[in-house]
Amino acid sequence: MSSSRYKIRLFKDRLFSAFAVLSALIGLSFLLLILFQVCHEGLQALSFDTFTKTTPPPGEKGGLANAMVGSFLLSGLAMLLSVPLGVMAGVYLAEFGRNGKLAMVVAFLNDILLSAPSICFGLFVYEIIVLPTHGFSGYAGAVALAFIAIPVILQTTRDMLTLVPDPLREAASALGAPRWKVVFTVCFRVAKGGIMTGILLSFARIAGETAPLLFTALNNRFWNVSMAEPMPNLPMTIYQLALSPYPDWHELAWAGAMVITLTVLSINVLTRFLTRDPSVNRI
Amino acid sequence: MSSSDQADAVMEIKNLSFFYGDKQVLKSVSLSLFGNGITAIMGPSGCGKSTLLRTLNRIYDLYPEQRAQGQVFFGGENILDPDVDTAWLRRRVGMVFQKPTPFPMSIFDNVAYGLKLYEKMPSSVLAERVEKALRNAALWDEVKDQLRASGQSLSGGQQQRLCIARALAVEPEILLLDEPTSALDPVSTARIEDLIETLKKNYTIVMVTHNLQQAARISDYAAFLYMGQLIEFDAAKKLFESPSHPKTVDYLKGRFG
Repeated sequence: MSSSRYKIRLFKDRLFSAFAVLSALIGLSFLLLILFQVCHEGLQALSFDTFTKTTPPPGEKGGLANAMVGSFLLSGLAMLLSVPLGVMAGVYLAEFGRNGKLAMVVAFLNDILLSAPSICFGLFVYEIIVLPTHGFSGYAGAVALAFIAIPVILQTTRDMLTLVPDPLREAASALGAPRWKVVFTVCFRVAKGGIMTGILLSFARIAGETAPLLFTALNNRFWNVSMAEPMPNLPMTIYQLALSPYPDWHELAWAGAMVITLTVLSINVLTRFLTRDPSVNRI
Repeated sequence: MSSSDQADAVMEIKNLSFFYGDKQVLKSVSLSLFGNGITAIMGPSGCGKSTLLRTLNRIYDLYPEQRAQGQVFFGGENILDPDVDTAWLRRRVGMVFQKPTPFPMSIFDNVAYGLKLYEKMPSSVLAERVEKALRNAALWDEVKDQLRASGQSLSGGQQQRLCIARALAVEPEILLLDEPTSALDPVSTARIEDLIETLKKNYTIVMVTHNLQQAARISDYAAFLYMGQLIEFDAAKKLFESPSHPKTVDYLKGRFG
C-alpha cells in the first residue's frame, strides 16, 4: 500500500472520529446546561419546608409535600397496573406467540404506542374514565400513566427474553419442564436484569409526565391521598407554579423541577448500576 | 441388522421422516437402539443426525414448524403420538446438548432442577440425590465444596459434566448426547468419553458425533446417515472394520463429511 493512500485513510478516520466526538459533546453539553440551571435555581429555593409543607396560597411560604406524595402514589399505582400487563405481554411475544400472526400484530401496535404522543393517552382516559365517573381522579391519572409505561415494559421484556439462547430453553424442556416453568425458572433468571431496567426506566419516564395528567388526575393544592379525588402531582404543580405571576411560586417550581430531575436521574443511574451487576446477563 | 437378536431393543424407530416446514430432512429411517450400549450416529453436516436425536425426546415440539412422521416405540408407546405426555417421555429420555447449557443458578440447583419437577422430597434426600448424580457424572470431587457457586462459573468441560449430572439426576433410561464434546478441549473431551463409557453400564446411550475416532473408540453400535437416509447400521466393530455400503466406505475414508 502506498503511504499517501494510507495517510488519506488515516485523515478520514481522524476526521470521522472528531466529528463523532464533537456531536457527542454538543448533545452532552445541553444535558449538563439543563442540569446546572435546574440545580442552580433549585438549590436556592430548596428547604426543609419543600418536603414537609403543602402548596401555599399566593404570598405565603409552603412546600411540595402533597405533590411529591401524590406523584409517588400515581406512579406507584400506574406501575402496579403496567408491570404485570407489560411483562406478561412481553412473555407472550417472546415465548409463546413468537412469529405468529397475533404476535406480529401486537408487536406492531406496541411500536406505535411507544411513540404515540402522551397527550393522546390523557384524552383517551378522559373519555373512558373521567367523563363516565364525572370527575378527575387519581385513578384516571394512574391509568393514563400506565398506558405510557406498558409499551416500554412490554418492549424491554420481549427484547430481553429474545436474547435468552434457545439451547437453554431446550435444556430445561428436555428435563421435562412445562413451558411456563421454563419461562419463569430459567428465562426470567437470565433476563431479570434487563427486565428490571425496563421497569425502572418506565417508572422514571412516567414520574415526569405532565400531559397525561392534564385532564385525568388534574392537580390538587391540598393534601390528598384518596385516589378517587383529583390528585396533586409534581409535574402539574410545577407547570402551574411556573406560569403564576408570583416570585415565591417560581422559586418553588424550580425546587420541584430539581427534585423531579434528580429523582429521574438517580433511577437511571441505578438501572445502569443494575445492568452492570456481573451476575446479571451472563449468557 | 443380523446381530439384533443379541439384545432387546429399548427403542425402535420405524419409517421416521422429519420435516422443517416443507423441507424433508429425514427419509424413512428405521433403527433399533439397544440397551446398555452406546449407539453412535454419524454422518456429514446436515445429514439429519441431530434431527434424529431431537425426535427421540420430542424436543422438536418446541418449534411449531417442525414435524415428524412414522413411529418411535419406547416403553410400549409410540412416542410420536400427540397424546403421549412429553414430561413422562423426557424423564425417561434425557438429553445433553452440544454446547454446555448450565442454568443461571447454583451448581446444586442445576442438578436439583429436574428432580424438583417430578418429586417432592425432604431436603436431605434431595441433597443425596444431587450428590449421587454429581458422582455419576464424575464431577463431585471438583465441586463438592462449592455447590452454592454459580453453574456458569465452571469451566466448559465441568459445565458439560454438570449438564450430564442434571440429566442423570432424574434417572432416565436413555441418554441422548448431541455432539457432547465438540465444544470442548481434548482433555475435557477425554474425561467425558471415559464418563460415557462408564455410564453405558446403566444407561442406553445415543450419541451424535462428528468425530469418527470418537465413535470408533467408544461406541457399540454405529449408524451412518447420509442426506436424511440411514445408509448403514451395525455393530460398531463391523461397521468400522468392514462396512458393507460403498457410501460408508467413502465416509470412513474421509472422502466427504
